[in-house]
Amino acid sequence: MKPSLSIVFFTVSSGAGLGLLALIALVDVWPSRLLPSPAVARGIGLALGLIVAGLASSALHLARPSNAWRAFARFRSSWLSREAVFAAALIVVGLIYLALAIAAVEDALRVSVAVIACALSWTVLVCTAMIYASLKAIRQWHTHWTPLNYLLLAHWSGSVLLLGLARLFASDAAPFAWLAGGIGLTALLAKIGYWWAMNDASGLTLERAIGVREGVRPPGMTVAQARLLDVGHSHRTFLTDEFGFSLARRHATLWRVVAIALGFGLPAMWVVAPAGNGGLMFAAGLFCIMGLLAERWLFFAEARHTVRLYHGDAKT
Amino acid sequence: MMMYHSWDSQNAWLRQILSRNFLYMNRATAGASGLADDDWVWVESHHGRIRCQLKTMEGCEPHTVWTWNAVGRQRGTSGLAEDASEATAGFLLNHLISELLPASGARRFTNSDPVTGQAAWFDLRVRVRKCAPDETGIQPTFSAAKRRPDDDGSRPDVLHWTRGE
Repeated sequence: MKPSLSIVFFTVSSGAGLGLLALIALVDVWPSRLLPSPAVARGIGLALGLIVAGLASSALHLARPSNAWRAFARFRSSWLSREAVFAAALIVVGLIYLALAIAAVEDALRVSVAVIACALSWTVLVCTAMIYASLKAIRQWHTHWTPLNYLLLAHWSGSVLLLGLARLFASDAAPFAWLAGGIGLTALLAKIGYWWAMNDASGLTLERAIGVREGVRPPGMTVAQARLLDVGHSHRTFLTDEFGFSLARRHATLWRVVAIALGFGLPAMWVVAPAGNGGLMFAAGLFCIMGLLAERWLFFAEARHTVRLYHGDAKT
Repeated sequence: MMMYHSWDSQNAWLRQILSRNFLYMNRATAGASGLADDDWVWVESHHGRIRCQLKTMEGCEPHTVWTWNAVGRQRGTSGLAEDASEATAGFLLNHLISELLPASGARRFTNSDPVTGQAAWFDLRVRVRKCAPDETGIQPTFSAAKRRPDDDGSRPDVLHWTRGE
């Protein structure tokens, strides 16, 4: 699939914001007070900023941003609609949560709002992932790895940002480093697992798409396999533009190295470092986001829609 | 050919699915002659020769070649831009086919089906040979047609229709 930069940015930015918000809320309701209220308020503000920036980016990629309201329609059948509705609800809840944290309210209301914010964050993340995972025609997306990776990567980038807040404001940042390290390692393993699973030879072939046996030599024919004679158009079309994106294997490897080095390696060095100044913290967060942008770009670029079999590809 | 059997309003869409053509040949025949998909070939008849691009297929009589007719255009005709692929990549078999049958006696007969009068495409014998590596692009080509007086030369990239207009 052709990677759309606005959607790549949206899922990474919103993902980091949602992961951060979920983790902040969990830390906030933890019995022992790990983060002071001003730090929680800053974290919620940062998370909401990232989420809103992502949502704005996703609306702006529409040919007509004035049609963005239609994303809310068809709630019962559309993961996109569910994502939009829950994201809108999350922003309202997040603003209430932010006000409670700024006012340093310490009561059951704040705990319940925090729990709701956490649950909504997870819901939005799952909805975003299911937009892709629900598409049967794209085997690189139609897999359980997709929601798993979306959840883990969002929490990994969120935990790096949370560790930054903790090192600035918390008396003891060590639990946050352990949290980030644990999530980061799991997220990395899940991403490598996804790549490993997608690398196998289970791609759909033209023979399977048109329902004939593979590798059969019909009488009098010169080839042993079904072969595309012609495509249904003599020039490029919407389908070839949007679904025909191809990435050379060596480029894909390069992108994977970049995604792992920037998205995991450099931030991990900062996570295990005993301390760091503000500049390093900013760099770690930035590298993590950049690495995840590369990862998300690859997630789109490597996805091969089944329709490509009808436009000349031998395999998806 | 499909333009003959369609409404004018369908032609914009037809252009999207077929705005250039290839010469089709039996895949086994092509292989025996050292020809492969996308090769440029010279097609020669007693009357003339054309250069075009080849595609191979199983479902074709081994000693017959064919193509979609009437896709090729002279540059500047049919209201198309001068770089339209009908003019730059599409080709016609017309240059291979004589209007008249070879002379036999004093009278020349038209090269047409004796029953229907339809132009006779079906019994033309041609020789197909591979082009030299530097020979690409359709032949023959012609200079752009002169514009009609009522043609302002505008060639929009996108056409919009609205019901009722």
